[in-house]
Amino acid sequence: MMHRFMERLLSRVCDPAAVEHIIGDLSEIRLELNARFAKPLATLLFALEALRFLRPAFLRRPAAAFIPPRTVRTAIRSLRTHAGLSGLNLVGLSIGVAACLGIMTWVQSERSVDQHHPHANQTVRLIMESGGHATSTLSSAALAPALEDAVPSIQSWTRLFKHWERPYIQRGTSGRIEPAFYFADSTFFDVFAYEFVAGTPRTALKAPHSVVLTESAAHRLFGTDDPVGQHLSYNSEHELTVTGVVRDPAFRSHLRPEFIASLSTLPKVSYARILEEWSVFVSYAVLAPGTDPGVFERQATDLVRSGGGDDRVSVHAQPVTSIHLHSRLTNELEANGDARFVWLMMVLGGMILAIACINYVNISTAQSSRRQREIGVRKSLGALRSQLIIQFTSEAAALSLLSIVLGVLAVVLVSNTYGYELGLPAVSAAGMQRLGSWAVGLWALCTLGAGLYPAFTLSRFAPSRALKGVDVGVGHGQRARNILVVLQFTACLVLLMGTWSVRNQLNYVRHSNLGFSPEAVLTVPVQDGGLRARMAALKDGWMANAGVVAVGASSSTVPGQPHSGGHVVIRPGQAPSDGVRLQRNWIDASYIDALAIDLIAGRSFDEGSATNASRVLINETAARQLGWESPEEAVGASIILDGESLEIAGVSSDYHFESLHNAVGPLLLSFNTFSTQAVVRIQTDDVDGTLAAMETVWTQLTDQSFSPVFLDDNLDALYQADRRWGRMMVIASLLAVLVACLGLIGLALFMTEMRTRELGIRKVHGATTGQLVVMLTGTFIKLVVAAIVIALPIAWVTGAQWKADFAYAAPTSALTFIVPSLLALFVAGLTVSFHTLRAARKSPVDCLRS
Amino acid sequence: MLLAVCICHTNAYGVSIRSEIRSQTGRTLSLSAIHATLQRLEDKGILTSAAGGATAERGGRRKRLFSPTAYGLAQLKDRRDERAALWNLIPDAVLS
Repeated sequence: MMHRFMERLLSRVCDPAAVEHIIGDLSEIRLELNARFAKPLATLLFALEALRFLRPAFLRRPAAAFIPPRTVRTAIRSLRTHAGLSGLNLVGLSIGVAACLGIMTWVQSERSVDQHHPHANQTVRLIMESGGHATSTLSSAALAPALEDAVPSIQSWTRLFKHWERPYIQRGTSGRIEPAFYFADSTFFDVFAYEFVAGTPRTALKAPHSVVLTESAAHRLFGTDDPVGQHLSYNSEHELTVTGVVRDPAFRSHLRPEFIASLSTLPKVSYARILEEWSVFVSYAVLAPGTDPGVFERQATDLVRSGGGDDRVSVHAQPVTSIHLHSRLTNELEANGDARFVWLMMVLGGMILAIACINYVNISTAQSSRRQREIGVRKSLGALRSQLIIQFTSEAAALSLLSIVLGVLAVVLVSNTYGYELGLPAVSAAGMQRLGSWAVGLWALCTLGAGLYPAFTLSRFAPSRALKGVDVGVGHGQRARNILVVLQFTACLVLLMGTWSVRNQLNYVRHSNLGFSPEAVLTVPVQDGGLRARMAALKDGWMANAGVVAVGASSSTVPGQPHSGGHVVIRPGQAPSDGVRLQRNWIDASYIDALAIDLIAGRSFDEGSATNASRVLINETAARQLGWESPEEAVGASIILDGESLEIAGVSSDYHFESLHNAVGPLLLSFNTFSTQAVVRIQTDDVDGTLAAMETVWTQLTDQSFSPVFLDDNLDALYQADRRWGRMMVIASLLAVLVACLGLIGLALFMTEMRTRELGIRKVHGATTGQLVVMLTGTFIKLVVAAIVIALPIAWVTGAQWKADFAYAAPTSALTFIVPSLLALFVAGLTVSFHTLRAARKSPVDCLRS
Repeated sequence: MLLAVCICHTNAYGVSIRSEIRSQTGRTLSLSAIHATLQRLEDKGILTSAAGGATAERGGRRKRLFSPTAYGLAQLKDRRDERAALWNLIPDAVLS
């Protein structure tokens, strides 16, 4: 990496005659250094050796000495003369550029999701809608094959299934729960881009019990062994054969499987008639080129209606490329991104850059009085106005070029080191190229945005007045500058208030009442086949410990993990098309106690009762959607699920079994003792002791490792994306404030310098230091107050709009507006008063003598 | 430097000269310093150079092999004689 770069650098700048043997010698040195020192040190020493060749003796001799054009020379000179203010501008612009580029890289990566599939633009996900409204990604397994026969425009199709029970995958004795386990048709690899390292794409997923791994999963399980043909155990009960290995995808997709088993395996390892009876599959179709999606949807809808007879159902063809940013249905395969947030971040990036450009405009127009003499001389010597405009613009160009370079460096450094925490992708070679072209664009933008206005105003001075020293400076353009400062601070305040309310919302979501109590609840996966049979012994062993309050179990899932979806329930006498689609979980008798779920009517399952199998619990929403006025009415009534009549034993509260992004949907709880996860509520006073005691009981019953997870940690993971967004917003808005403050420092520095004499005279006449500071700081504080007044309604309206999208919105608190306002006042006051204090403390003798 | 070039005889190029100087004097010079000196000496006509001896570890790039010119050797001998003469002039009492 380093030596490639150095070689390129040297061959670019060194004398062509000498390049060959210099690089040759350096490669020998590199080998020697690598042999003698650790890698980083060797690289560093090598770089030092190589860089020492950048001396005049070796440099390429130009045909003619390079003399920069006049404009460049004067630009550099002027930037150097006003080094302090140029430095402020440079830092501000660099931060602006870095933030902007960072955001652009992130946006690019969010938008590139699923673009790399072979027919990305023709691939659609088939979504079943009811009454024109889609709720879930799931459809029946029969949908895609039926469509293929009836609709000619389908090129290929595939179906996916991701089990809500995350399987325990074992090789020999070591294994773990694998959350990224998918089942797919053998056509999966026709639709989605995966590169095979071993095995053949066409046949890898044909036979039952075959599974394809990604390279990283294969490495985890098999190390350096060849995985193909080896066996894996699925939940300690079934054996799968590895038929292929695919490379870890280099591009992002809305599905991120590590294991893909053949769909024909599914009936063997789960419910035998799952393919025929359950609507739990995600279907994709590749349409022939030039197919109108609208026509396809109509044909598909006609087909579905002719089969089922229900004319509210329709099929929606969701473009696969739009899933990541635009799809927010239940049972998404993985957590998706959010187009609104992408827009928000783009606006943020633009604002930061605008604030940085305004700094430049303000500082350079404020400087005009200093430069009036220079301008006067240039004009009287015959400079045209256009020439002056070019001169000032090239100053801006030089400065922004420098800050672009710094900004690019910062982005590359930050995203390659802290990229993961911030959600920024690492910069690849292709990314670097893109970054380069964006940088050129930003350069043009900054040069024009920052340079044009000052260039026009500065070049307008009449030479006679400018040379005479008539003051055209301090007061000149003061109003425009004030407006710009107000604009900057308005933007900052809106950002701060926005960030505050986003954080508010996220905190609210995490701390609101979930309808059950996730604290001090452990979930323990119990997928070992042998252990399942000894579940009663395990429960008794644990309950004997005083620290354990309750032990429940689920044969499927717990809150925060995906639930089985797409089950249709009807009341006796109802047509299937009027049924309620609900999500489902299978639990034992003490699950409700272990999670402390509120039962608002009826009761839970009874321990050891034979009637449990014919009884179910539903939640409040399900009761309402099935048409009961109150939960009490539903108790004892019967419903029909998959042709079987069941009695409603009780109604639970609407506890949040999904994240709070979604409103609670209808839920059905069935009885099953065939457990996959134990749910244990423990006392909080001696957690370590209780865990140790539980492990002792565990090891007597099984050799699977004891890996309990606290349920609240699990739930916390649901909000990881939110937290990352929150962090990005905080960083972006703090950067905006920082840049705006840099501008204020510049203006304050300049103002106090211009008014030194005035301050001296005031002091001679008896003004105190305090009065002067208040006077000087006051001018800036007034601007900030104006900004607060403007920002308040904007933040209020946008905040209200943003929250409308949440199923559970936090109440708007006054703090959202007060804290950022005070913060802005405080920071602005602090930065400005630092300079004003220094100016005000100067002895009047020094001020007046100049 | 010139001495080091002579010592390396048929294989005098940047890296070999550097390692020769290191093993004889214990001083590690930077490669660029050596190249610069060699180039200067060549400009003065003391050294001459030819391309050759590409190896795999150099990524197939040729070396620039230096050898002293007749003028360079004469200069070198002059210096040695000059120095020897000066040594001989030191009174024995000083050295003992």
